[in-house]
Amino acid sequence: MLFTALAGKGSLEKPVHTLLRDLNAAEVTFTLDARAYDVEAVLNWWAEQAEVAALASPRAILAPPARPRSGDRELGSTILLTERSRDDTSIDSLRFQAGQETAAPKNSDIWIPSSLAAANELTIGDTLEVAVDGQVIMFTISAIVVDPQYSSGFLSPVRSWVAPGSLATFSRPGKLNEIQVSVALYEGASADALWDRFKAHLGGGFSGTALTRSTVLASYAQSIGILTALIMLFGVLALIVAVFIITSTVASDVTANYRNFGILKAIGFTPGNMLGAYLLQYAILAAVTTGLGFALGFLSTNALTSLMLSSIGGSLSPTVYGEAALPALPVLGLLIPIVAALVARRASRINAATAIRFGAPPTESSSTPWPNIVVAKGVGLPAVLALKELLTARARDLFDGVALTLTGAVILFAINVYQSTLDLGDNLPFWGLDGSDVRLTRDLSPAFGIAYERLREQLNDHREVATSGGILNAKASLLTQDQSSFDIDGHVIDGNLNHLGYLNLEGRNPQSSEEISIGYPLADRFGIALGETISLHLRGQRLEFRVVGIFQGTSNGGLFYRCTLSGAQRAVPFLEPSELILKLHDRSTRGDFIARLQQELGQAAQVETSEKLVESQLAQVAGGLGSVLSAIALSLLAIAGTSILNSTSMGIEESKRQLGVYKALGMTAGQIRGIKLCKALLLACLGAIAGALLYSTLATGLMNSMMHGAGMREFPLTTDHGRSLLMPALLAFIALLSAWIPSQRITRLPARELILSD
Amino acid sequence: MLLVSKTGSENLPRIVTCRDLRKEFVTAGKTTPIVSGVDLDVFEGDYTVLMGGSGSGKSTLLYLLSGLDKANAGTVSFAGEDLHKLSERAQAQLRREGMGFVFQAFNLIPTLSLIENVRLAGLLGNQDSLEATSMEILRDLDLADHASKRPGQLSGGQQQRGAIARALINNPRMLFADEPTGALNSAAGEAVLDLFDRLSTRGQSIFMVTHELRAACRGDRVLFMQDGGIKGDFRFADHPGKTTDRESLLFNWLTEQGW
Ligand SMILES: Nc1ncnc2c1ncn2[C@@H]1O[C@H](COP(=O)(O)OP(=O)(O)OP(=O)(O)O)[C@@H](O)[C@H]1O
Ligand SMILES: [Mg+2]
Repeated sequence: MLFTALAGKGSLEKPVHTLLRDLNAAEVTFTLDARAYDVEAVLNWWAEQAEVAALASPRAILAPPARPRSGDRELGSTILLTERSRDDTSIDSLRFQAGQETAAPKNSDIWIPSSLAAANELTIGDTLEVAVDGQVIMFTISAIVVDPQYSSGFLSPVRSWVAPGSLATFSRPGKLNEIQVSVALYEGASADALWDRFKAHLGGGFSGTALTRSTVLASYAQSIGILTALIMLFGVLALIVAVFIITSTVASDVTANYRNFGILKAIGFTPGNMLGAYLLQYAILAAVTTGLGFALGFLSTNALTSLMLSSIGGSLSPTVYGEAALPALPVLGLLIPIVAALVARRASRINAATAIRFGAPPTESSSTPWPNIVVAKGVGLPAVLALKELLTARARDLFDGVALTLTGAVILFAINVYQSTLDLGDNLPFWGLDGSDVRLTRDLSPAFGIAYERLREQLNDHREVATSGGILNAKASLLTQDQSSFDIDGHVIDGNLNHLGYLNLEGRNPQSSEEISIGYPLADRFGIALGETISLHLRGQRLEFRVVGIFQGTSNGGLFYRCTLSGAQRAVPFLEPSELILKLHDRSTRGDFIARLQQELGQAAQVETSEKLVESQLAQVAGGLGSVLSAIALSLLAIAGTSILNSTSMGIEESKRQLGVYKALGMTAGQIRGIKLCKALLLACLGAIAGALLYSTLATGLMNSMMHGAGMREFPLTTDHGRSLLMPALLAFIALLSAWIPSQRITRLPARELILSD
Repeated sequence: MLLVSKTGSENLPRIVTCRDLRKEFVTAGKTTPIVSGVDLDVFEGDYTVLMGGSGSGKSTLLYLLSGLDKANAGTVSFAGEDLHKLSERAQAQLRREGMGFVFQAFNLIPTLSLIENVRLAGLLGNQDSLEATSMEILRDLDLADHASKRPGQLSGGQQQRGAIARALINNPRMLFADEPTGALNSAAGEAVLDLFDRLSTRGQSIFMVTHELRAACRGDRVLFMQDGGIKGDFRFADHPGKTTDRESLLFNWLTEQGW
C-alpha cells in the first residue's frame, strides 16, 4: 500500500503532464469579446512575443447558459460550443476514445470530452439538445475525445467541438462575438509571466476568461492530491500493522522453538549464529514480500490510475511507477529483517539449561478472578473461556485489536466522508456556496429574457420565497504588493449575504460597496488580513475593497472573492446578475415550487435546485474519494483478517496441548472452536468500540487537514449512525471468518496429537 | 480397617473392553502398526498399570481405550457403550461424566486459576453446588491454600495433584493417567502415587501408564506391552507374599517377559 501511495502521486501527475505535452495542449487559452477588443491587434501582439511557438486560428465559441439535454435527461454541466477548424491540428490535438477520427466534426455533429461522456453516460450516436437563443439545436455525438484541458471534469463549461462555421448558422448575427484563442509556448516559457505582460499591454486588466496550463494542472491535482494523501496515510498504517504482524510471528516462533534454541546453544551455537539465522530467514522473506508488494503496488496503482484518469484515457507506464515507488523498496526490504532481528534477540539470550528442560517460560500474567468461571453456566463456557483468554491477552491479541480498531475507524471514515460529500444539499454554505434552495439561470437574450430587477420582484411576490438574491460569476485580478496581478474568480452578489446563508471562517459578509470577503487560500497566499484594503481589477477598472470576511470553499481552490453588486457596479454600472437564488420558507415544498416557477417563467429562466450546479462535480469527488477510501478500508479489513488468521492459527499451534486437554475434559470440538470464535468476536466488539472512539476524535481533524489545500478548512463531516452500523457488522464478519478458517484444524486433530505434540 | 483384596478378575465387572484393536500410523508413505490386535478387559475398581518399553504403544493404547483417538480396526467399549458407534458429541459427554484424565505434565489451563481448572471440568460435567465441591476436593488433596493461584505459580507436584483434582470432580468411573509421575521429582511423584493408592482403596478405577517399577508396584494388575501387543498380564493377588517384596516380585516377572 505504501508503494501505491508513493507511486500514486507521481503516477497520477505524470500522465497529465505527458498528456498535455503529447497533445500539444495550449499553454494559454483565452476568450476574447470581439466587441471590446481589436482581435487582429491582440493576435498580432501574441504572434510577436518571443515565447510564443504557435497560435491557433481563432475559434468561434458560444456558451449556452442552459445545460444541454440528451433524451429526457439534463446533463450535469454546461458546455462551450467551439468550432473546430480543419487546420486546428498543431495545438490542442485530441485523442479519440470513440468515434471516427476526422479533421473536424461534420455539420450537426459534436465531439465531447471523455469526462462529460463518462459523467453523463453518453455514447456515440446519442443526441444533444442545446438551447441557443430560444431555439433548440440537435447535435449528434460523433466522437468522444480526450481534450487535455477539459477531460479532468473539473472545468466548466466543458468545451465541445462542432463543425467550422456552424455556429453562425443557428445563432443570430451579432450574437457570435466571442472567440477563443489558443497559444502554444516554447518549452520552459512562463505562461503566467506572459499573461501578466499581456494584461499590462492592455492597460492593466483583461475582461474575458483565461485558462493557463497551471489552472488545468490544478484542476487535476485537486482530486489527486487528496487521494494520494489518504493512501499515503493508510500506507503508513499498513506498515505499522505489518510490523505488528512480524513482531508477533517472530515472538511466537521463538516461543515455539524455545527448546530447540536451547539445544542449538548446547551444541555450540553462538547467540550471533542464532540471530543470523533469523536475520537470513526474514531477509529472504522480506525480499520475496517486498518484490511481491512492488508488483502488487504496480497493479493497484495502475487500477487507481485508470480509475482516476479514465477520463483522459491515461494509463500507467512501468517506468513512471518504478521511479516513484523505488524509494520505498529499501525501506521495506530492510525494515522486515531488522524488526525480526530485534524480536529474535530473545532467542539468542536463551538459557540453554532451562530451555531444554522446561521450554519457554510461561507468560506471567496476573490472575484474573473475574469473571468467576461458574457464570459460564448461564452465558456459555466458550464465551467465558474466550473472555479469560482475552483478559490475559498476549501481545498478539493486542495487535489484532489495534488492526481491528484502525480498520473500524477507517470504515467509519469511508462511510461518513462519502455520505457527507453526498449530503451536500444540506451543506452548500460549507462548500463556500450560498445557502439557497432554488437557483434560476436567466436567459439573457432579448427575445425571452426578463430584466433582472423585474424578475427579482416577480419572484419576491411568491409567498414561498423568504429571501432572494442575484449572483454573477466574475473573474478579476488581484493587484499584489509588487504591482503584478493575480487572476482570481469570484461572485458578485446582490442581496443580503447573511440572509442568503453565506458563511465565513472569520469576520463577516460584505454589506457595503467597499467591502469584500475572500477565501482563506487567497488570504494565506498574499498575507491578507481582515481589515486590510486590496485592489482588484474588475472588467478593466481598478477598485479598492476592504476585507471584512475570510471564508472557505472549493471553487477555484479557494482563490475566490465575494463582493456586493453595488461594489462591482462601481466598475460597470449596468452589471447584472446572471443567476438568481431563492431561499424558501419551507424547503420541503421545493419540488412543487420549482415546477410551478418553471411553468410561469418558461424560457426566461431555467429553475432548479441549488445543489444541482455542483452535484455532478462533487459526485465525482465523492465517487473518487469513496472508491479510494473503500479500497483502503477493504485492504485494512484484509490486513486485520490476516492478522487474526495468523494469530488464531499460531494460538492453536502454540496451545495444542491445552486444546487437547479441553477435549479430554469432555469439550466437543465445536465448543473448543467456539472459544476461538468468541474471542475473535469479542475482539471485533472491542475494535468496533475503539474504532468508533478513534474516528470520533480524529476524523474531523484529519478530513480538515486533508481538504485544507483544496479550500476547505472545516469539512462538514456528519456521522450517519445508521450506515455506520455497517462497521461493527463488517468487523464481526471478518473476525469470525478469520478465526473460523484456522480453527477448522481443531476439529480435525485427534486429541492424542494435541496432547502429545511436543 | 477392611483390606479390599482383589483376587480373580472374574469377580469384577468389566468397564473397558477391547477386541482385536488395531492402530497404525503412516509416516513418509510407510505404514507402521503401533497397536496390533489387542484384546483386553479392564475391570471396575481395579488399579490397572500398563508397562512396556519406550515406543511400545502404551500411550497409543490408552488414547484408544478412552476414545481420545480412533482405532483403525477392532472394537472398544466403555461402560457398555461402543465408542466407535458414538457420535463425537456423545463421546464428549461420556468423557465429561465417565472419565478423568491425568497426563505427564503441564496440563492445567494456564489462563485459569487452579480452582477454575477444577470448576471448568465440573461445569462440563454439569455438577451442582460446584463452588463447594471444588473447594472440598482441593482441601482433600491438600491444595486448598493454592486454590486461586495460576498453574505457573505452582510446583510440578502441586500442578499434577491439581490435575488429579480436576479429573476427579465429576466422580469418573475411570481415571486414565499417562505417566503421571514422569515429569516429577521422586518426592512429588511419591505423593501422587500415594494419592492414587488412596483413591484406589476408595474403589476408584484407575488405568495408569508408566515405565517406572516403583509406580507399577502400587497397582493391582500390571499389563506388559511389547511391539503393539499385550505380552503379559500380572495380578499381585495371584502371587500372595509380603508387600515389601512387591517390587522384586514384579521385577522378576517383568524380566521374564523380556523387559
Ligand atoms: N502421530 C503419530 N504418527 C506417527 N507415529 C506415531 C504417532 N504417534 C505415535 N507414533 C509412534 O508410535 C509409537 C508408539 O508411541 P507411543 O507414544 O504409544 O509409545 P509409548 O509406549 O507411550 O512410549 P513412551 O514410553 O516413550 O511414552 C512410537 O514409535 C511413535 O513414534
Ligand atoms: Mg507414552
